[in-house]
Amino acid sequence: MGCRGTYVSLEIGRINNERKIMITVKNLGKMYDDFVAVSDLNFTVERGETLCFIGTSGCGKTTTLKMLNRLIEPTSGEILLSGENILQQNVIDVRREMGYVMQRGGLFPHWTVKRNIALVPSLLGWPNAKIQQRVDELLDLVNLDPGEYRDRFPAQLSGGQRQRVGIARAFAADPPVILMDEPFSALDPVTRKQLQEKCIELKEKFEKTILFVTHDLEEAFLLADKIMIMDKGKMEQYDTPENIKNSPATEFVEKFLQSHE
Amino acid sequence: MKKIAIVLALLISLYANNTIKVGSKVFPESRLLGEMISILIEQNTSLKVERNLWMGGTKICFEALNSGALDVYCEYTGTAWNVVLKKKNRASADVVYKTLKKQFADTYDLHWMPPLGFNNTYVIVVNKEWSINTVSELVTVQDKIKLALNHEFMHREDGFYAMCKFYGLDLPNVTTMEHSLAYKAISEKTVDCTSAFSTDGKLVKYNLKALRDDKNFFPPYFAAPLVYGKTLRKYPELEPLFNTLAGRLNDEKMTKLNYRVEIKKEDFYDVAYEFLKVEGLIKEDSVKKERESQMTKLTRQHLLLVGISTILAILIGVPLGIFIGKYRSFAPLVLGTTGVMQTIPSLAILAIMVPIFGIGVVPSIIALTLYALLPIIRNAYTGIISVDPELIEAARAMGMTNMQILTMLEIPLSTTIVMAGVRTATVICVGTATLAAFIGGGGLGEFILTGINLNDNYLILCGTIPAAALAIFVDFLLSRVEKWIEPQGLKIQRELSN
Ligand SMILES: Nc1ncnc2c1ncn2[C@@H]1O[C@H](COP(=O)(O)OP(=O)(O)OP(=O)(O)O)[C@@H](O)[C@H]1O
Ligand SMILES: [Mg+2]
Repeated sequence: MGCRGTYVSLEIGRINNERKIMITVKNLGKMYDDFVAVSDLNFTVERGETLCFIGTSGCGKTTTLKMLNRLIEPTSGEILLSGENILQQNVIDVRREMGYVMQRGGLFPHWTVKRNIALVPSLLGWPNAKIQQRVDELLDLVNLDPGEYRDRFPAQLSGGQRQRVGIARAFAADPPVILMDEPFSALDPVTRKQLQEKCIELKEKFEKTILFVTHDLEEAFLLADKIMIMDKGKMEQYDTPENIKNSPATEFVEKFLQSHE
Repeated sequence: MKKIAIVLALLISLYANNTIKVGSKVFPESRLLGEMISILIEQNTSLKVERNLWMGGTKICFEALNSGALDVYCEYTGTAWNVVLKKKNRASADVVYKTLKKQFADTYDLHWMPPLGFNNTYVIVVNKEWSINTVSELVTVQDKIKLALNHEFMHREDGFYAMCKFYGLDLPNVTTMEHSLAYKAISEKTVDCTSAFSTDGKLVKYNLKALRDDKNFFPPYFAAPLVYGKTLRKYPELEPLFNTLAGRLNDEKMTKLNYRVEIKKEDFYDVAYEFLKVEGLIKEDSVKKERESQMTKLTRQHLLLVGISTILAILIGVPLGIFIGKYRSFAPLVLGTTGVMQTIPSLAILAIMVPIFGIGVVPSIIALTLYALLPIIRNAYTGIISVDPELIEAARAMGMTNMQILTMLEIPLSTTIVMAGVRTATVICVGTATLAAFIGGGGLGEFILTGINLNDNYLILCGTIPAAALAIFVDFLLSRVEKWIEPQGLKIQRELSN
């Protein structure tokens, strides 16, 4: 056993160096009693890549995403982050390494914008001055004037502004990985477009690894380096947008693409 | 924290050293004697006096004294003989007093001071127009004299029938009626004779003559200060002081004093003070002590009862509510138990406390705390479970620990609803605390209780109106606190969504 363990980690180390692999998922599965929500997922994501999960409603996208920061505990498989199995690490530390953006922001209503954005940095014990500076920097980044918005409460923001703050919060402590679950689906088309562009900009600027759940195929093609199409808890196809468009792997993928044209 | 410190300081001052706690039973004579003892101590020693006058019946006063919650009150020999020593046999005044003195000292370390001199026992009273002077002489008029007796005296073992047998009387014209009605009937001359207590102030009012118990049928009820043993030893100046009261009163003097407080409604303090001065028991040049008015004192006690109970209920209820919000399987049990407690009438809860915790402030506070618990637990629970699960998920995803989620998210988001529960609980407490007086806990209920006992509507209103005003005021105050404590972001959210 000891030998094999060493061998595996050496191998991963090698792969990591060559292709800068950020996340490796092996045989990942989630069962609720007898119900299989997600089964047998295997994939890798490279540093700086954006991966979009897409599929029918209830196919297991959210479940998969939440297993990555252990909001849901997998019932089988492994998740390696930079080669380390996160299932064996302190869950709190794991989560602070990953930003998380929710559909409706999930901002704390009793905190100002500033305090919301500063959440993870202050949990990590950053000095105050550094936090202040970081908050303003992030507000600028998501195109909100710090002077105007810093001290507002979530109730005093529009849906799009709230989502911007949500993104800023996820980026605050500069985590290598960002998880997003349908972050733009509740927004109007114009705002959505702006935020999608902002997302591309941020990802390129900071080389973040982004895992992004959507049910909007257009959005997936726009943002993704890799797309994973899922159905009934299983991976149907995992490839670049071009490859998926040009050569659908299964009948399901073909139909799925057609139905979204 | 500061608030808690203040409350503790008040509590400590309540039980501070160098304070003699004087009690009395729930009738004017006992209270007047309590007042005399209080003034006597205040004017002749450096000790402070805490008046717990108008406390309750014999059992309550005795228990309080026996547990050290009181230092002294005036007891009656016959009552102690019956109620405490549970003796049924007849004995002379002297034997009764000596037996009591010895047995109380040996069994309870409670000490009888010398009797004050009057004997508040049963007497047979007649309209002054009748020429008879003793009970024996009743035999001479037994066919024509009309008696009105209350139910209790008719049927007591040492009551009417026993008396007739003892004196060889045959009194055919007897009706039963309430004491007060009997007095009235005598004054209207529809009856001639009734039973009474020998020092009842009404004897003066209705101009009645007491027949001398010439064969000593009625048991002796001599009043004397009864004192807690430790107190006597700790303050040796007290015993000689109590001795100065020995024999200072007789039936006639006591009846007149009772008449002044009971019928003339003179102030107890003033009557007691004047008596002591006339008797030379306090210095000629002494001045009346600054007295906290009864209203201020009872209001202060009331607020203290409510304040301590509510704070205790918060300290217990909020964590418990949060706990069952987090571990919901415990919720039905906890909410069910406190819910049942709430349906028990408050007076019953207070009554349950007496055999367990005795009487006084402590059991009152425990009962009130139990009573205030439900709204606080329920609201804390509701507050915790109504926090948007999406926010909790966001918090977990950001890497907050359960403790951080609780303190930074769930508790702040629940403050308003918790505060609303505290407000409800406090208002309930202000009302329920009026019942504390029934178990010697003090507070505004004392006015109500005294009023009921004396059938005095003014006194009842003295208790109910301030209590109601206090409830409204406290409600208003806490509604302000509720607004103030609400996190600003939530306030804005609420205002914008309106
Ligand atoms: N706690 C749970 N207990 C039982 N089944 C669950 C639970 N949570 C999710 N599921 C089931 O697991 C499946 C996958 O759920 P998931 O939320 O991952 O779907 P999704 O792909 O995100 O769907 P959508 O696009 O509607 O958000 C669904 O069929 C759902 O009913
Ligand atoms: Mg989903």
